[in-house]
Amino acid sequence: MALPDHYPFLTRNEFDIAAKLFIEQSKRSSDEEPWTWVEHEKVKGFGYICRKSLVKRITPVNFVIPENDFTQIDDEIFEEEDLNSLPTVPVSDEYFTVDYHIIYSTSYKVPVLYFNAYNSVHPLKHNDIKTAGFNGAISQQDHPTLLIPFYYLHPCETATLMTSIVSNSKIDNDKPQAIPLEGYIRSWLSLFMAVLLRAYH
Amino acid sequence: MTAPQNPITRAIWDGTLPIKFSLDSTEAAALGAKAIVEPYFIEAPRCSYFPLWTSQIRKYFVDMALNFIGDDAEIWYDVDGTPLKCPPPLPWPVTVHFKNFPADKLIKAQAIDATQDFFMSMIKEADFLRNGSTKKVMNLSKNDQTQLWDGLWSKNYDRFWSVNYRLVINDGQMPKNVPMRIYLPDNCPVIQEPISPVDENGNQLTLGDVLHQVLPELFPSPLPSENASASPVPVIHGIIPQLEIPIVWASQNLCYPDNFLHIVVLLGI
Repeated sequence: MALPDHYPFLTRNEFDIAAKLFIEQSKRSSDEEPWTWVEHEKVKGFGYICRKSLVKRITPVNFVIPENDFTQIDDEIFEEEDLNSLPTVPVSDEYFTVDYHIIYSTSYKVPVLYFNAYNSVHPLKHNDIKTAGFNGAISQQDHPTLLIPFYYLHPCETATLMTSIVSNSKIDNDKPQAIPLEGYIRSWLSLFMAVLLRAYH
Repeated sequence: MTAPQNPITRAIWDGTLPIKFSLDSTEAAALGAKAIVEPYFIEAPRCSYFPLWTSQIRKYFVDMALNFIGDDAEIWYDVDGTPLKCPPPLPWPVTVHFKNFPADKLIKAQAIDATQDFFMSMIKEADFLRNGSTKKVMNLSKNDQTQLWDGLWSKNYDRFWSVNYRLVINDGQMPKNVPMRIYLPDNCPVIQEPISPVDENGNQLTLGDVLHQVLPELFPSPLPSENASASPVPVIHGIIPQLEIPIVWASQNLCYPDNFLHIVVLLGI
């Protein structure tokens, strides 16, 4: 079981290996849309993982609260408001198409979740991303391989998060824990997908 | 607090590039331009971002009787048909567009905020590369963080550098990695590798050493080539620096406001 040399950080080579292992597992799993590996058309060393998903709208289309009722959602309290002032996504589609790309950050030495979302008509704009229900520290940047705009989750806390899930492990060991390459992307993805799609309870 | 007196960073800060902004001819009629619209010439500061000048460019064209009432964020630029992205390097001449923003190719700057957000992300990334964490930037007071951006957009060298100095000099400690980006032609992905400023014996690396390490096919040696006119050359702020300069010195003196060394490689002059 290959471990990253400097967990939680990955070298570009370790990322490539972890990615290929992750994609193989994803292909064997029957209940998932498959992930694929894509290289830059001319230059080596800029490969990334991607998949297209159909995501059910995260916020309800007509979010109305009955009179005198409060719903607590993650420390925010929603009061009944005029329907016209509620944030709404421009169309009433139930589903979005989301392109997820997992790219490697040479600066932070960790994977980074990039994404773009589309409804049936057009790409979601910055204002729509939040009102559609995507959470987390989201900004826009050029995709390092495709050189076109993508939204992404800031990677500055990735190392801390990846360390915290390992130290919570109940395995007794003097050495720092580390997730092997074959499970790295899957663990990382479950953390960040949870941040991005934090659903209302 | 005044910024340290450094004639090189001052010269970089004051550096400008003449740019000619021409209105896209296909849009002129649709936007109500009655006569030929003269291009707008400015001495653009090298250490800046396009969105910071958009309002003055817009004002010029609107004063020339252009009927545009949309948001500044709708305005975009192209060079030879390719939509122009925000960060360096700067080109000229440039075509200005007021319609049909290509959202699949360009990030739409929501007013100035998105540019500030982008700028601060770069500053944090530079800090992370130098120190392995973003603590230094995050520990700056809110006033200092704001002062960095304010200094940049108001073109105030002292305001900017009195804060930036602390980040760039890094308390006199050798950075773990030098924040830099290398741009090659033909839509190549931007090259950004972690670059240590010293070799395994602790000797400082030169710019030539680094280029040789990252792009050995283009720079087969760390030293200048015999056949200068046919060889690839690095360009920083519009000048061709000597390959012998130490990379740390280059990082501290020739960096852009975002703390990165942005190096364009030209394949033969």
